Amino acid sequence: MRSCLILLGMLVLPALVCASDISIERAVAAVDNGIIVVDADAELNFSADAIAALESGVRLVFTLDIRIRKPIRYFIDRTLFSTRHRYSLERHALSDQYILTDLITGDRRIQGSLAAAVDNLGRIRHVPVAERDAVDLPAESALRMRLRLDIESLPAPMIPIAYVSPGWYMSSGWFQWQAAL
Amino acid sequence: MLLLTNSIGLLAFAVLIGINIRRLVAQLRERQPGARLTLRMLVIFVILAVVPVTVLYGFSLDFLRRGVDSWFDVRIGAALTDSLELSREALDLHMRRLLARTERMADELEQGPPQRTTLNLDALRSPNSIVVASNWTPGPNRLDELRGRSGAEELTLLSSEGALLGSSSQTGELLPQLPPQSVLAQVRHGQSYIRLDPVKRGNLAVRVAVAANLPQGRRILHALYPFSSRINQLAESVESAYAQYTELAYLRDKLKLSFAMTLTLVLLFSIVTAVWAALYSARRLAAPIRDLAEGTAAVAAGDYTMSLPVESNDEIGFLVHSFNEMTQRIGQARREVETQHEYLDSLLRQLSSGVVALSSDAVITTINQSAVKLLEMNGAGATGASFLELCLEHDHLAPLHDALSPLINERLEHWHEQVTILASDGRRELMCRGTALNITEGGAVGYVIVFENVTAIIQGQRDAAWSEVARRLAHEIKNPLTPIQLAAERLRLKYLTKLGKEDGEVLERLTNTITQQVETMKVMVNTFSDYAKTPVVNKNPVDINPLLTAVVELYRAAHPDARIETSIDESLPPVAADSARLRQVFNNLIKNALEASREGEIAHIIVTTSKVHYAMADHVEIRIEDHGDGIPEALLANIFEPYVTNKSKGTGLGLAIVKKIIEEHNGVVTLRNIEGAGAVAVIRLPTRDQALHPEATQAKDSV
Repeated sequence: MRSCLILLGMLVLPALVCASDISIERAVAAVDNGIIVVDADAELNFSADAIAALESGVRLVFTLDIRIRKPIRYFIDRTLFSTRHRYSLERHALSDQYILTDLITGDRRIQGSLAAAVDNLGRIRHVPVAERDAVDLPAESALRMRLRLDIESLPAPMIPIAYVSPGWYMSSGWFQWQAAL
Repeated sequence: MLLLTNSIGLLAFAVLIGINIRRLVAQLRERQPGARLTLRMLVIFVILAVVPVTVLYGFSLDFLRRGVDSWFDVRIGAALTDSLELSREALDLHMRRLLARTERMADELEQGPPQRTTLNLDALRSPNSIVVASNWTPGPNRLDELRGRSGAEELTLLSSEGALLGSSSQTGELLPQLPPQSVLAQVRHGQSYIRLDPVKRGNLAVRVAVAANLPQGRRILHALYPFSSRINQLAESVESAYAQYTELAYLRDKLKLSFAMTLTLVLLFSIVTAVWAALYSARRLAAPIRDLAEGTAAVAAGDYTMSLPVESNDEIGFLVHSFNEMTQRIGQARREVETQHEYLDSLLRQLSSGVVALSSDAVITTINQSAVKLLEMNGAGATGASFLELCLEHDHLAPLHDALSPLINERLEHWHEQVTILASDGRRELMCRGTALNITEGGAVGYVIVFENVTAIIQGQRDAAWSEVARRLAHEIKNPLTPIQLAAERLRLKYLTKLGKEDGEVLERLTNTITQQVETMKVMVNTFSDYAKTPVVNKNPVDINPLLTAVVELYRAAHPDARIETSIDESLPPVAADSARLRQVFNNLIKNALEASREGEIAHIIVTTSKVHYAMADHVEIRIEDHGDGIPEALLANIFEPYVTNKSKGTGLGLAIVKKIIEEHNGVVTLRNIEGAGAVAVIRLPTRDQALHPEATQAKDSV
């Protein structure tokens, strides 16, 4: 019976879910030594389900999508460049510490508490996006950024539930700002 | 993705089933043929499909639940937790020793020379910074010595704000692994920091940070102590086993739920597919049966052109094929029957005899036009009505009912009966011949009765008989009359002079009487002779009006006290007639009318001529109406026969001769009483055209 109800929920709920547990407070872009870099501050509120999973050794993967777009009047903006960074957050049981790893560079940041680890995840600093000269940028570029939990990276049995549970739908939505690069 | 695809498929099937079920419900409400059969088959198919699948689902779910539960054991979980705890305790002892060692190093540093190199910590954190690489000048110093003695992998001296003051590393890396800000904050608050640190994957180290109060100020000594590879290996093993087990334990319910959901989805998909397949199959199977039902309904409604498509070669296809063959044969037979029926109808129409077919309960199944005319009944409502009841409804057919009723009820195979009815044109003699229709072996199921109007034949026979009587009478009587008359005259001449006056007068009177009576007898014999004589009719176009007026004027002159009225139709067409013989007719009838007047009353006669449409043809009608006592009912039926009269005088041949002359002119004469106002004689003579071309009228009648 429970299965049937969840299945029914799976058919109905996804389109209705719009809870956002990640919010990007601020984002800036600058050119540093010919590289477009982005700094941002995001606030993450983990649901009880996510915390329980993390404490149980489940690794959570977050993706940071950044896009540089060219505004086109009376039409949809054209994406000039897009990049994706992936971070994983996991608990090391023996040391009782939380490890935040940049899955592209392999950099690890070890935090003694979950709060510190989450705070660290939200402090996005000096994230490279693209080489300035490689992209034909307009005078004023539109940048978009989104930080979200990658449900597909969760263990397989959790994926269906994560798709229909608001507690697992963690995404900041697209945060957009203008920058002259 | 799989889930989404399944869900969309499930929804699509559900919608499809919904539409089909709605259509089926509509068909059931409209009581369409085959709808109930489709429903029955659908229910059977669904039960057959759903029950085993549901049972299998229940068992599979239980099996899965038990299977997943069997993966986990409380003792294993406890053992793993204990092993982790044991590892921690073992490492904790080692870590406390390392803390004490680091604190001793901090004390030693407090006594040594201060470090002068100052580096910006933030600059060092930046991957693009080159400050460290350009300014760092390693060399033998105090930190190296302390690190060498302590066995630390890395020893770093930091300011209380985190600025790197000095560093010594075993690996020779330029940049030391700096502690996080939280560690520095803890030390700044006077608490030493020691913790196991997974520096790299599968590589544990002990991170220690203690305060060192140097003369130059408060500093932080940070050390990293590595573990041996064996301990690292064991720690990694414990960590990974514990992590995997706790993750699996966490996923236990979700795993069961996930499997259950997958199974449920499969179940729903199977059920939905089965229901749809059942709907489809039931519809497909019921389709030819529905077609057959519709076909039989059409056949029942009389449509034999219905042909169903043969879509399969199985038993249903054979049935449909047989149905088509049956409808074709029925249609063909029906066409043949219709053709035969039309032929029979045509034949019956052409017959001058009346034909009536009756069912076993004497209901009229077929009646031809001649029968309707002969019996003078309403032909429109005759078919389907009881023949005997119909006879009772018409007064003039009462004799027919009385005569035929016992014959029909007795179910005799063959019978014939002559019945006399009083039709509108007078007495009508009908010869009725009945034959039982032995259609089935069960016996007579009906009758066919043929009516023939034998009035003319009988009348002819009767007239011929009377003519013969008259001729013989005239011959036998006329011969002795002349000798009687001559003898009487001779007797008178011979003895009148010889007798005395008195006897002479007696003789005179007696011989006169004989002579007069002989003359009267001669007149009577001549009349008989005239009646018996074969007529020589010399027909010419005759205008009735002047002929009739002339006769009327003669009687007006002879009977000035009589009131003779005439109503003449000036547009009267001529008739083909012998004017001399018609004059005789008019004479007889007007004379009769005058004689019929009541004694002491002024004779009142109305003579009328008009044109009428009678028996599908134009006729000239002559009516001679008197206002006497009328004709006694007993005589009315035979009034035109010889010697039928209500007068004390006369030969009784007047009306018989009238009828004979009118029939010689193909006309009809009737005599009937007017209620309370005497009698009327009606003569109808065909117009000249009708008389010359009677076949045209017959043709029209047949149409």
